[in-house]
Amino acid sequence: MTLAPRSLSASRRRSSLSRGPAVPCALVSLALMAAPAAAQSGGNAPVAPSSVLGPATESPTLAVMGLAGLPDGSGNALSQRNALWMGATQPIGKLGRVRFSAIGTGNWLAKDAVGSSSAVEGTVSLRARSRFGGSQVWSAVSYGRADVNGDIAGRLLGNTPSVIGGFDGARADTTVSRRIDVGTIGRAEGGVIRNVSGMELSFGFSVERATRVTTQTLRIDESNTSLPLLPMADRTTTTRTLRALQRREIATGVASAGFNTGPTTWLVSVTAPVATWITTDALSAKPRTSPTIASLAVVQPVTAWLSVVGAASTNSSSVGTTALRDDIGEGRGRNFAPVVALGVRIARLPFRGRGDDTPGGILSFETRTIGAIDSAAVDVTAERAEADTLRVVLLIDAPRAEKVELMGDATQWLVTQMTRNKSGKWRAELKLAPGVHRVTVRADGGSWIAPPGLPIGNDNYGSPVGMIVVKGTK
Amino acid sequence: MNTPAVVLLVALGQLLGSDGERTSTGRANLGSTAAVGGTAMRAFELEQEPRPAVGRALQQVQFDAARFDSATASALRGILDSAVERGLPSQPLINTALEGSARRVHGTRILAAVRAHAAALETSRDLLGAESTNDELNEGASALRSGIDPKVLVAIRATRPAGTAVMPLMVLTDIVRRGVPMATARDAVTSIARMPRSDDALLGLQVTVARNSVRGPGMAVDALNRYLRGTVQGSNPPSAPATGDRKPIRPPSS
Repeated sequence: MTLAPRSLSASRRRSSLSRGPAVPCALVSLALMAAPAAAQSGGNAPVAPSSVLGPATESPTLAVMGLAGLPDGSGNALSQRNALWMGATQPIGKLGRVRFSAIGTGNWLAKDAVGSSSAVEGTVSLRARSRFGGSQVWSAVSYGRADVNGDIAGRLLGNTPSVIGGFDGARADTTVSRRIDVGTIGRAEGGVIRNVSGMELSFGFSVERATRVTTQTLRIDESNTSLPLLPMADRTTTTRTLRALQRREIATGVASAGFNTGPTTWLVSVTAPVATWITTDALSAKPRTSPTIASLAVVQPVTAWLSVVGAASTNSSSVGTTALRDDIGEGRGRNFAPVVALGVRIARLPFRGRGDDTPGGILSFETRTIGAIDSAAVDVTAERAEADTLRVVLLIDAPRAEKVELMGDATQWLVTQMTRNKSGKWRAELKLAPGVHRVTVRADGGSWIAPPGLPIGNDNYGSPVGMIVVKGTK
Repeated sequence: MNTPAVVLLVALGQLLGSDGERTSTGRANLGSTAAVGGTAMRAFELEQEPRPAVGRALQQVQFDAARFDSATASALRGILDSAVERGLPSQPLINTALEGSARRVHGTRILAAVRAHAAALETSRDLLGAESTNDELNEGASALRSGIDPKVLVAIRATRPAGTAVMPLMVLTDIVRRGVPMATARDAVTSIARMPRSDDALLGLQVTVARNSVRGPGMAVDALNRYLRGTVQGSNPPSAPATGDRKPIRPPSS
């Protein structure tokens, strides 16, 4: 008798059966909320394509999302799991024109119904972002680790050893009594974000390596006799430990579009693998390649610091503790395994300003949080711009903003970019006739607000405007 | 004040005075820029002539129709032509429509806002008088649309002659929006507006209320009363402390 073929067979058999419980479930960190950062570290799960949009906000942010009974994309109903995802962002500082943020995400996969294993995953990222001209350029490096440690669901899946002294006493039975998956992931990514007509378009590219080491303890129960069907034959039970390695390098492209409808923020993104390199040893199944995934996320502010987040994705493989999945069995090629998630987001968001205590908003989800406009100043040069107008300078103090825009009567209600002057304030020069002029500003594509400090005017459309008075005296 | 410059600007202003749709015309008094008590806002003094709101020659209102869909643009033109026929200023209505377009609001909502503002402008003219300037009418309309009682506009008009009520109306609207009760706001604004050259004082009131309103309406009212006592001689607002030596727990910002 040769043990190796049996072991291999057992490994294969277990691999096939373990797809269920081993599969991470998805928590909607989605490429949206936690997207990038979270996912992809892989326990027994695979390396999903990284989503390039990471939770790089400018403000400290905490998000919690949960899902119940999620499919994993394999088609195996037993693989549905419950998961809880958390993500946090903390700005670190600024070096020259580059702003740095630290991002941490964690995902806890609850024990499923058929096994006792659970999965824990964590990822940390360092993200840098800067503005060049009208575009933002960003880059991030991430490291993640995931562990799946526990009994497998084999007993309930028909993988239990045969009854000693049973009908097939001469046959050897192999049981995977314990399985431990340790996955690590390293990722580098970068991209560019550009605002076009109020819509934030982002294109990114990432390269990542995911490695999964699976350690299985096999229990082999075999008869000591070659005579078949000998009821009282002696049997020997041995254990073996097998270690298998899977590795996948993948290059992924991501495109997204983010926009606001009132206070609500929407993000649509598509993640597509560009190239994949897979390495496995003899005992491992090949990891499944990642499908193209489309996702939608919505953030609805509730209060100044609390938002409700909803997300949906065409495939759960980019979510949660998703790591390397085995490319075996009938689940292959199942690219459409939609998932949805609901969660809350707690953020110390900037306020719009005095008298309008609503949150500044979030644009494009985790791509950024708009900078706060802290104050406004109106100044004038001692010269006339034209015969009946004065040259009025509006100064906005929004040190955290990367872009400040203005519109109002003086611009015919066309959006006008403000420029940052040497003192760090945002400046716009207006030619105003005497009278009352309405103006509104926004930072980083967020909501339009009345410049703080200016009198508040009408709010025909739910958002007040600020008033600049070129006073007339008699 | 630079007198020769003013003389020159007066002449320029007279030459430019024929543009009936301009929000207002005037001549810059560049030497009298006034900073308002610690606030970032400044008011620029320019002499200004009240412009009658009625009696203009009827002409088709020009606006950038390309920024609206065809149905909205057509309806908007009808509203604007109707407003001009009634002697109402069209520029505030155009600005309202353009603002809606800039905010990407649906056409029906834009038209509703423009119609509401046109109606408010007409009411404002009835309350403030036909001799009011376009800015006054517009500020009066904004005040009405903010929920301010029409009688308050009449009270404001009683404190200021035509052409000089813009600042009281604007400050009134602002402080009411920031949580000051309407009666309190009316009394404060009219008290200050009666004083000569009191626009700067009104702006100071607005700034004081704005700074303290973030701490709650109560603090805004308390700050208003204190500002009023320091500005208007003999003022004794109803909500003032009974004794002068009472100190507030949280003194308002200056």
